[in-house]
Amino acid sequence: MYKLSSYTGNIFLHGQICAESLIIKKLLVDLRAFFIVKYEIGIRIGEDYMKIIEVKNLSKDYKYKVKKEGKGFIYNLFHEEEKVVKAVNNISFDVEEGETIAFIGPNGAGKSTTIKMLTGILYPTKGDITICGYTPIKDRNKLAYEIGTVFGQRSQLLPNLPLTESMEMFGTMYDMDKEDIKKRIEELTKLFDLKEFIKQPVRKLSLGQRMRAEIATSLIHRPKIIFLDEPTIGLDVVSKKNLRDLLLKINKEEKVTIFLTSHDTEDIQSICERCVIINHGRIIIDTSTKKLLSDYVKNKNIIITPNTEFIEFPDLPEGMTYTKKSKSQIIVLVDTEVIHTQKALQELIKRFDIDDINIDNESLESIIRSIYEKN
Amino acid sequence: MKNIKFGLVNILKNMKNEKELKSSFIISIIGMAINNVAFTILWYYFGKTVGVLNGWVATDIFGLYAINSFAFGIVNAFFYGMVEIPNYIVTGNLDKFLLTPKNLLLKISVSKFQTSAIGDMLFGLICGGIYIVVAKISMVQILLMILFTIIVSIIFYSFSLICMTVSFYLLDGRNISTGLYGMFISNSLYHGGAFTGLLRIIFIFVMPSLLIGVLPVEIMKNFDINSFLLILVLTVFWVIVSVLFFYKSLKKYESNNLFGFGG
Repeated sequence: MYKLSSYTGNIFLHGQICAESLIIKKLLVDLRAFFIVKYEIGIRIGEDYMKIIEVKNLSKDYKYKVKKEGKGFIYNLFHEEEKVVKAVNNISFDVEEGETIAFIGPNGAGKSTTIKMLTGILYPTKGDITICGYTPIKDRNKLAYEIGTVFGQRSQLLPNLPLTESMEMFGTMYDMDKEDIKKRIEELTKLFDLKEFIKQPVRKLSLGQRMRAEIATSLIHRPKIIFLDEPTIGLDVVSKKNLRDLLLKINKEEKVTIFLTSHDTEDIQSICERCVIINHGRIIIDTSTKKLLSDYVKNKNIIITPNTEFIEFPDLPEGMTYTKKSKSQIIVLVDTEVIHTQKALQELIKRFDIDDINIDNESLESIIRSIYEKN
Repeated sequence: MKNIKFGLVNILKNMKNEKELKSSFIISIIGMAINNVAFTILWYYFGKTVGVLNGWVATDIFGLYAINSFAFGIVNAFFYGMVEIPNYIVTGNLDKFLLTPKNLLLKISVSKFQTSAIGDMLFGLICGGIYIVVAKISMVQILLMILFTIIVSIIFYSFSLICMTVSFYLLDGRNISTGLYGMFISNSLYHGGAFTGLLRIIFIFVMPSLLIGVLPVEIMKNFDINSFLLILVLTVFWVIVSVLFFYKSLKKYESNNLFGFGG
């Protein structure tokens, strides 16, 4: 950036000397445009500019003591055996600036441990992490200015005071001056629609309001990345939807990179462009959410409704199974690797007097479930 | 400087947070002051009955409680988060301090405000007043008492931090830490004349209970430069040991996923 501006600066200086010459002016404009395009391409293709998170061969072991069965208390007091659990096992991935990434896996897969290593809470056993150019454990203080965190199960707010008090406290923590804190609170109030409850003590807020407040507070210092661990846990469907919309909004409007863990597939589908699936401490899939949905959908649900009512349920060809049999509706699961959807439809039309047909793709939830089960 | 500004803002916000629960705030302060008065009267009458014991007279109890209670009050009112370290470790709430900027120990320490400790400070002031009047101490001794209150607060904080840091090494170290902390404090509240010989050495050099009350009162009564310097050296020693011990132990932290509100 520095080189580019100093170079164009010199050209403009030269341009002032020969100001009368339109040709030179045009040349300068062209040259400037050329350099700007080249610079932008450099950002797009130059990996160093883009990566906001870099993880290489990251591992984390937990040690715990095991008592020997059949041995007494005194024996076990001095002869406890140490066992090692590999919570995270040699994982590597990168995240680009502005990405929305879901880091998912079943309970005990290593998601929280990974997030905690990324944010500098836990020391890795092995491997390297770079976030915004910092090593989390070494540069924890500097990194804190670049990241925001929301853990759905924990609150960082002062429970008896209005939200503004917590925001002011956090603003001071991040070295913001009074004016800036005030301005930022106004911005966040607008963005998160906090006006209706910003003066209420946090303790009196509903869970949905509190989560909005938590996320807004974690953004007070304008972080580049926000780590969210189960942000929608315990929320009702409306609050969940609102929160997802807000996260998308901050990603678009404030260019905040979102790193999310959630067991709610709706969170993943509606917020995240990319899914990293982890199980037994290893990354098993790292792909875009769209690709996950298209590549891993092997089953389709065909829902049929009768003209009058279904009485008989004849056997179906291989690759087709009933998942619902009732007088008013039949749902058939089709394994598209065994039988093509078109053929399956023909088979059903042959067997039933049908009024209406709907075909649904397998849900993300069942795709993820089958991935967990296979791995 | 930024750390100091942050520390002050945090203390004020936490105080405000506690003050919101007005009735509980007032009851805690008055309750603690009354509790301490009862305890002091007991020791005062003990001192009167026994008479002079190893140079200690009944009125010295007021001097002891003035310094000890005020220092205890300062540490527990403004830096109560430090006492909560075992809880933070067990519940995983230490995470939130590791995720934000500023000095970690400062952040943890100022994260909670204990209202009842204001009662201890109040009580310390009353005892100090009584001691000044009854023992008729000089201006120099009064200044020495103020200086000792500051020094004792530092030792109080440092050794309490060591007690709490022990929790990093245990699966649930809350009981052990509280036990050690209790032992440290309760021994500092006994009649000074009771500590002689090996007991005195242990409670000065191993567990510095005598440094947070008994020894300062003795120096105040009969100034001795060696004892004064000893307190200063031991203060520096406990500060360094406690901070190093805390940061070394922090590596043992493994976080947790328990539910909690506010930490």
